[in-house]
Amino acid sequence: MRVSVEGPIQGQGARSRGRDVRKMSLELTVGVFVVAALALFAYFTVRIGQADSLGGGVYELTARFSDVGNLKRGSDVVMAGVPIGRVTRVALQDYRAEVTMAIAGDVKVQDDAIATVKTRGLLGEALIELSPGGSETILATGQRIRETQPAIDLYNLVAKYIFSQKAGGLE
Amino acid sequence: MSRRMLMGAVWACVAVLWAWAGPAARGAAREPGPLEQLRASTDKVLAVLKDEALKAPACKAERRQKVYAAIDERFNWPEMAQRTLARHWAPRSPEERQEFTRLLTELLRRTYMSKIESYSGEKVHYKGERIEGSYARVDVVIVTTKNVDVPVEYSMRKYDGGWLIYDVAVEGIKLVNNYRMQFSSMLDGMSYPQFIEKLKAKVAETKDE
Repeated sequence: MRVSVEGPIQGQGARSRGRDVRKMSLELTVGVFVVAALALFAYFTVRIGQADSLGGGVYELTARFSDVGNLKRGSDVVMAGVPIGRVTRVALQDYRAEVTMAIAGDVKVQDDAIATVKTRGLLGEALIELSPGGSETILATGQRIRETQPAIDLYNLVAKYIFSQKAGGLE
Repeated sequence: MSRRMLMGAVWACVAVLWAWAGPAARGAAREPGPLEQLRASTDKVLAVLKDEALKAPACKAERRQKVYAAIDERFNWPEMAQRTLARHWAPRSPEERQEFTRLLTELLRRTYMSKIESYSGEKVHYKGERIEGSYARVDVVIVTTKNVDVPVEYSMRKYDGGWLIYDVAVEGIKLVNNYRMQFSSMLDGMSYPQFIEKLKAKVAETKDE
């Protein structure tokens, strides 16, 4: 009697526990899958956004500018319009802007290359353009691009032109 | 005797030290820096421009030659040529490099001569120099007759003959970079001999300006 009463209850409990275990296992699998997907997403985002989009290893160069405009960490470094690196740091050094760049390992930069701060279009994002030089000396990691051209302040140039015209008119 | 000998040895040491360190120290103290050398050359150019005797039309050629001489002693034309031709410099033969340097020198002299000759009392203020090893920047402000400040930055390099200019930036725009971009763009669309022909034509065109 006892057996007949308790038997079905115990059987129901075992089935319920089995369902719970399967449910937990499914949730765990889904959880692991989601975490793995997020980790992969983060990994590829970083890789695509940084080093490996530059074609393998990178090396660092610095350059000092009197004005970098709105250049920021992450801004492109281009040569002939082709991205070859990214700005990794913009800091103030001796009252000038010191920019650190990560350059694709397969791109050689001569010691007379010129780094210019430019903008895409009139109001576009700032970037650094490197124009290759004619020197046989190639810059190594940690070295500085000596020749730089700052961001052109169009507002100041226009203002100077207008005021010089006005000054001319008063003479 | 021994005291005399000791004093003699001391004076001998002083003499040796003077002979060894003296010329270098005295030379270093006397050698003018990049700003001073630039100022000296600019003053020479201004002296020629202000010389009333050379203002007569008959003296135009002589005046130009004097200005060129003052400019040539401060500009390193071969280095400017190499930096301007940039990646197209390496494949050139020594003769081609020499020819390009001569043409670029002529082009720059003639292009800017008319501006130099139109000097009408602009003031030149020397703001300072920044020296890093054998390289230096000299900041100058030219104040026009309309009282407008024009910032000019000279890039200079130290050679045996002193500090020489290899680039000039006006309002932040570098002369070398400007010509480098123009020449590079031309050489992407034509052969080197064609480019040289164009350059010769341009020099001939600016000859009488």
